[in-house]
Amino acid sequence: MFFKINYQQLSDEVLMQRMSKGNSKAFDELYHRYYEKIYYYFFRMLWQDAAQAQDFAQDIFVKLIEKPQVFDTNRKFSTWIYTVASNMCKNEYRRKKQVFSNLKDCEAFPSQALTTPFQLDQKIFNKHLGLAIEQLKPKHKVCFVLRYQEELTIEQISQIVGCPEGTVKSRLHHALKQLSKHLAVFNPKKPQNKEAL
Amino acid sequence: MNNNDYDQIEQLMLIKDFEALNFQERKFIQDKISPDTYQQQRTILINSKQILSQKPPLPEAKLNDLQAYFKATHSNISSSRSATMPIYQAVLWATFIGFVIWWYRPTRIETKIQKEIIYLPIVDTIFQEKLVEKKTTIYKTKIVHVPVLQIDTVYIPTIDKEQFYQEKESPIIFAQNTPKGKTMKDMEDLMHFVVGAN
Repeated sequence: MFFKINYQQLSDEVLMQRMSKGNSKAFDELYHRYYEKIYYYFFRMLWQDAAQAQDFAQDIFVKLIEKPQVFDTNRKFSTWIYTVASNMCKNEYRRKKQVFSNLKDCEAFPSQALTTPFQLDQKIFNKHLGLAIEQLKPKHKVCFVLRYQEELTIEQISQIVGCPEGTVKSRLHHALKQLSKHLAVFNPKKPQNKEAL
Repeated sequence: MNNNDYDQIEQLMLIKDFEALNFQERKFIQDKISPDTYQQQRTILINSKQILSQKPPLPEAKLNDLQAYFKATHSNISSSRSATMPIYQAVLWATFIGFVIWWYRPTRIETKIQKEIIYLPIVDTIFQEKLVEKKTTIYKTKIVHVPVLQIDTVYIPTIDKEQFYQEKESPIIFAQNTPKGKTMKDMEDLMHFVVGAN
């Protein structure tokens, strides 16, 4: 080739095609584009376990190297890789038989006595919000993380999780309701909290 | 809350407090949820985005390992492909490819006519017509068929000026040897024939 190819200008799908033909530069470019995103997605989905997130992110690229032909060329690469990542998370949940207990059972959750509006502290609220997000049901958590961490559209999420857009909205709505229900103790306008005042 | 309205409510929650909503927006929200719920969910959404955007330091990337694995995998694939093909398959492939090439060989030669404009100095040739008179001599040939007389004896007079003009004094020499002589009249005719044909 007489002209140097600028890999940064190529689309993900073109890079994937080139990668499947053995082009290592295409692989490098895809790695730089997606490693960080995928790592933080796993980090959030896998209980903020950095080591496991790293292993999973590594694994997903190993899978890309070993079986590039599994990439469906009719799909967008970004949604496809998140689909693979979500499936890996699902398998991990099954493997660990993780039971998402209710936040009521969570010892770290503050007691009502501490939740007067005067004691409300942003840091505490955020800490418990983080815990509440961690303990969402997997199907709700996937949608919630993809929407508010990865900032994907409803349409993209529906493609990733393989559900209609209405289902995705419903899951997001349920996730939000679940979080607000479990964090209701922080709301001073709620009757039980008014009593605590 | 209707699921179809979720994205609209979500947008409002991320942008405005309930107090900041206009009349229509308030009405829209109050048809779905209470202002308290709106405010609480708004707080959760904003803080969730903030929490999810907090990212711990990225561990050391293992790109080098992956690159090495990538190269090893692809070199293995290429070498295994070449090693596993049996010879008979290679021969069959070569035959097949040869046949395909032969089948699709060009059956006609396409001549490409390319128009080129070449500028050349123009030399005019002027043809001038000139009438030239040329005199030629035409020789007419007339073949005259002369009847050949069967002459047995030809008397050739010997013309001797002296004798001719000597008249009677000179002896007349005629063919004396021949008994069949000619008369003078015959001689005259003969002379006419010999000397002047016309």
